[in-house]
Amino acid sequence: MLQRKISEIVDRQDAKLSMAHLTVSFVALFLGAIAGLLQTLVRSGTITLPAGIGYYQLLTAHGVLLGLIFTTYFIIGFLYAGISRTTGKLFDFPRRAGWYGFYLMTIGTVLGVIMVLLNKATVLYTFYAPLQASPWFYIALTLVIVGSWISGGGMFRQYYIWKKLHKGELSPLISFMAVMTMLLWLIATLGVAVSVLFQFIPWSFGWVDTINILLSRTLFWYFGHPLVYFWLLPAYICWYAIIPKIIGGKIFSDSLARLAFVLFLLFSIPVGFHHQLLESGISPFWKYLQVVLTFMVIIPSLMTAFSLFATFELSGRDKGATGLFGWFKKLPWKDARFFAPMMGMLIFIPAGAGGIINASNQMNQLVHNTLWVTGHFHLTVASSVALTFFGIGYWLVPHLTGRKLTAKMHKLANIQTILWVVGMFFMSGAMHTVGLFSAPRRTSYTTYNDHPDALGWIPYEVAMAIGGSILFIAILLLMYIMVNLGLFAPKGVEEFPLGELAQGAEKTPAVLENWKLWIGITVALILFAYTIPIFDMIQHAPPGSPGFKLW
Amino acid sequence: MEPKVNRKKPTQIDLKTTPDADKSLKGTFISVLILGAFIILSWAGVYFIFLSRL
Amino acid sequence: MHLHKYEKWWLMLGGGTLIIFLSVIGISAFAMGHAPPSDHMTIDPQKVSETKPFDEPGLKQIGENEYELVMVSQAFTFLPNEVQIPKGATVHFKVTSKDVVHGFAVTKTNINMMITPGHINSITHTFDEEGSYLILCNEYCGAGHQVMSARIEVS
Ligand code: HEM
Ligand SMILES: [Cu+2]
Ligand SMILES: [Cu+2]
Repeated sequence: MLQRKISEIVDRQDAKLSMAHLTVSFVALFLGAIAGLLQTLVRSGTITLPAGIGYYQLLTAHGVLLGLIFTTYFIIGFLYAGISRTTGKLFDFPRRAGWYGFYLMTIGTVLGVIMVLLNKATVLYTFYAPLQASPWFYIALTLVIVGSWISGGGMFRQYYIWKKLHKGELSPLISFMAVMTMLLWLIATLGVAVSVLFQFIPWSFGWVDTINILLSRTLFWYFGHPLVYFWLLPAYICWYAIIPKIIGGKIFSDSLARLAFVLFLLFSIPVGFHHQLLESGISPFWKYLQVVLTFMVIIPSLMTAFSLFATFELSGRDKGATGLFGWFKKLPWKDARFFAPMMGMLIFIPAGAGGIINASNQMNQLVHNTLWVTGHFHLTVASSVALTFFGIGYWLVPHLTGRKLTAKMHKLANIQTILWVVGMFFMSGAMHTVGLFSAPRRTSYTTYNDHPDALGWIPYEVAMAIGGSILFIAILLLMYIMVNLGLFAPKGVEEFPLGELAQGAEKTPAVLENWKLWIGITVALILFAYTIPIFDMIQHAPPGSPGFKLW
Repeated sequence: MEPKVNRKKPTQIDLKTTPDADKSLKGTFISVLILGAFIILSWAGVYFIFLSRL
Repeated sequence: MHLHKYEKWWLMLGGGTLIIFLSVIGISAFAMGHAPPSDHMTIDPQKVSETKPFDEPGLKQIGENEYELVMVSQAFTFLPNEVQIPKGATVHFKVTSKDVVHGFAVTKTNINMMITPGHINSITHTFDEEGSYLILCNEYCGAGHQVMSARIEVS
């Protein structure tokens, strides 16, 4: 058997591939953040947009650049680095696939951004029909998705070759998790790909006159919920498999970590109806059924919470901590690689609590399409995930560019984290609160003819603008740090922290790597949750809708 | 992965290999209970708003 | 696979809590009639103004202090635009869209539903308190989305 020697430093050529992804990711973050700042200023009535830029055009750019581009590029860049670090230098095919995927995604991204700038695609990042964008916008999205599939295929291939070379061995944890993340993404994006290819593109080119609205929304949300887990799982990789090393502890349990990822695959897809709870044409029974399945996906997060606290406590006790919470003080709070993700983890507590509320069937009436929801996902993706990604970037960027994370950058990074948490406290806190008073999301400045209920929202919108401004300063600081780490920091070797198992840790059951089994159950659950309702949607479809351009 | 030099004290290994050394995870348990209480309180809070607006 | 004793307890407590949440909302939805708005009626979205009852949107009394309120949403207005109802009235809302997807929410109440073209959505609410209620569209529908609103005056 050929044993590959694995270097502790990601291969130079692989590093280039990852850095290309991270670069696009941070550029998208910067552009998207400018839009975000302007949105908060418009909504609070502080400014009006110049030069014919529309609020909704800006919001489309923000959603696409941050929700889709920043996240996807960062994730692929990070996972490729993680795979190369744990299974060794990329083989020929995986590396080429990575580059093909990158170019395809980038063509799509540029095309999509041009369409948004030309005001031909002001349909927001969810592009609900029958608002109709230019066909080139949908083609752009297709290119991004297909590009990401090719990259995912490259990762699957690398994993497959590794398994062939290491018969009967357990795959490295990070490579397993990376494959799981890309598998989830592949299965999820099938829904939106079907909708874009068979509904949106023919309809926007005028080859067909009308579109089935409910079906298009259902296919979108079949993708939309696992999308949020696609954002979250790479953060979980950091929490499970990297943070233990940074804090000088051990991975709490390899098998529980893998089990959590399996459960995410199984239960994060057949749950899209929890975004369509208030829609006609889907029966209350099927909605409730998917609510139950949604609650199942909370279980792996409960497991994660326990594992993470346990990692912290065990490592703290190893360092001599005493008492119930003494370990808390032993954590390396001054280490930026720890502090940013840790704040992300803590923010995931209110974020998760909010998510349970959102998914609670009729309770969704209280929050649906209000600013509460916007507040919620600025805690999940824009804080828990984003802060973790920033925390990864602090060591990954210098690792890949052969530089060092200096003490000064540690300090600036910690200031960045604090600014982010404070800014988000104001912005997201105000959004949550005013959402409970019915203030709508995705809405430009308005007082609805000075209706008293709407006038009451204004102080909260001002708080959002204050929070947004602090967040924007934090983004500027982040850009400074990342440029420094990528181009100017002193040369050297920055560690790629890789968590290790405790001595004598129990053996991980092989069934956790039984892909056929997990894919089979996933498909069965999807068919169970969706077949009858979708059949019903097609069977009882009203006449379709023509396209509208109302912006 | 290259095996690292094992610098662990023997007591450490005890903690890890006997996972039911319960004392060591009390802080964890209390922490997740606080987390659970937070979830229950926020959920109940919103549920009561829902009831009050019926 | 070994689970630590505390982790078992935690997962049982957490799982139990989730079951309680699900039971509360399940009973409330199916035994007490609070299921989320899920009307199954459809309509030709291009023929809304010719289709009953949307050819004559407005408030109709159907019982003692009980009303049906038929509304049409279109970019960027609701029809009718202002409704007066007596205090304590139970109102059955019936809404559809002439063009794109709209939202339909009323402040200070649990009324919140999606209006998708081709479908009718409905919800019932009893207005026990006097005051001015704002109906607003909370789903992006185009450049004028932020002005799309109506009022219910309860007196
Ligand atoms: C400078 C930091 C940020 C600010 C000031 C900001 C501000 C905002 C505001 C005000 C909205 C809602 C506007 C509305 O509904 O009318 C919004 C929406 C959104 N934000 Fe952010 N945001 C920031 C960072 C982020 C990040 C880092 C992400 C993701 C990683 C993100 C993802 C989103 C998404 C997906 C939406 C929804 C867009 C839509 O409804 O179509 N934001 N943001
Ligand atoms: Cu969801
Ligand atoms: Cu609207």
